[in-house]
Amino acid sequence: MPVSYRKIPLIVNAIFTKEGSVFPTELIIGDESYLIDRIIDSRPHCPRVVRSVAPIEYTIMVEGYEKKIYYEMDSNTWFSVKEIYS
Amino acid sequence: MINGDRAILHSDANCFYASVETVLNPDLIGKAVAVCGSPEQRHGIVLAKSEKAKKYGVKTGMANWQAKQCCPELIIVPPQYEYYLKFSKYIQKIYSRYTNLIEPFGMDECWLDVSASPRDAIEIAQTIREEVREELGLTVSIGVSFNKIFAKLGSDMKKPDAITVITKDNFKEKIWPLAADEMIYIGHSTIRNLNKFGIKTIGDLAHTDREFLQKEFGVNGLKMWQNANGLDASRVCCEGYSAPIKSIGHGTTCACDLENDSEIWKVMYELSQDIGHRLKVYQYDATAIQLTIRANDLVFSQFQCKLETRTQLPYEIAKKAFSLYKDKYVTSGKVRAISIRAINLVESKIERQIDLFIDNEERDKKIKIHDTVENIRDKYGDKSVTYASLVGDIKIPNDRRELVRMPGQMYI
Repeated sequence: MPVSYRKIPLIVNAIFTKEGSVFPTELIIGDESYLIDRIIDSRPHCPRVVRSVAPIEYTIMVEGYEKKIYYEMDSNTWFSVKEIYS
Repeated sequence: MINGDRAILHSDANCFYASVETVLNPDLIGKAVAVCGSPEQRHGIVLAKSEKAKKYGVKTGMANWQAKQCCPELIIVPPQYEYYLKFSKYIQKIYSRYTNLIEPFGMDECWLDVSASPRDAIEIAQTIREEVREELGLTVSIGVSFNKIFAKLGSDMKKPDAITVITKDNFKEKIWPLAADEMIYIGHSTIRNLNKFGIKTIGDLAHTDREFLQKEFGVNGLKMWQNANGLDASRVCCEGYSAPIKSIGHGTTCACDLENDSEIWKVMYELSQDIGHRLKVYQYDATAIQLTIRANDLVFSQFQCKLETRTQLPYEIAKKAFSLYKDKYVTSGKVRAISIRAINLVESKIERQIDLFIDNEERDKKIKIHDTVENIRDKYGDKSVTYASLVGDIKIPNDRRELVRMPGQMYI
């Protein structure tokens, strides 16, 4: 099945430490907010399927689900990548 | 270190502009893509091309229409210099994890000296290659060798995304069969002269008598011989090092041909604004200027002359350039490109001999006005204040190409 990818902008609450680290704490989707239970991994990683400039990839646990979200320091934006099957 | 020798890497980002474009627009991945200047602004040539476009015969410097003839399905995209600069900085950040001896050569190439690292140079090259691909989505080719010249040749040997190791044991079989003009600093003119003596490959150059090369080509002949024999000992400069400034210039290819003196004056005055600004920033005064004019038949003329008094003032620089143009430029016809260069720089803090034959009070006023304009621009941006004569269409394209610094001399 052919698959395409879409960049989904996200609203994220995060802690920016004085040492320069960034830790996402909460995802806000519409009127709902979801606490991030755990950050499993974070690393610089270019997803290569959507436009991005040197983002950091966070693997997070939200309500028991594992998700990947990206933070692009260059534009100070958060996004995720959605797979679309057609 | 490789067998006790220096360990120098030369990393070259493959098809840099085109690769950045594919990261910014992943739909372009695997397609024939060329980054081209705008034909409307008369920069309609190929600046970079993807691997697939290269296979169709698209070459850098080709006119856009020629590139389209080679590859009808070619996707042409305009350059986005601000992103190329960003990616260039991100790549250099990755290099800085391994050494502080990083010498950029243009936006997409760098030498790294990893001799002092406890890790193996080949292992470092491998890690850099993986990190650049993983973190930025770009690929680099890396040459690993015991000097800068061979490291650079190595990075050109296998592309894309590859490592080539050139040691003291294998350089004769790997480097010597290459054409002599593959070596840095051997250009069209030098290779023509070398060919006259039957010198075609780097090996030929290495076997030629040193004294003969020195006699024919001067100090460059000796340098070529040393480079061909693997005796280059030039160092990799420290991160953040910038070469001493010898001249400050600015030039442009105009959006359309300049047809009269008034248009030429405006372009010269606009170019001088930037030169004056940079002279002030770097605290130099110009004592002479150099003017280069390219006519619309692409023939270029270059003139230079001394200024009456050393200066940072854009008006004085532009005025001298314009008088040089009026006095020396005899070719009739339209002007396509102009560049002005402030040369024979002296530090502005050095006391100045007052000129007895000019109105110094008037000149001091002009300096104060220039300083005030500079301060306003510093605070509110380059375009916050300008001269009335520069308002309107002055036929200078505005596509931020001035941000790009082209490679100059290698550090020695």
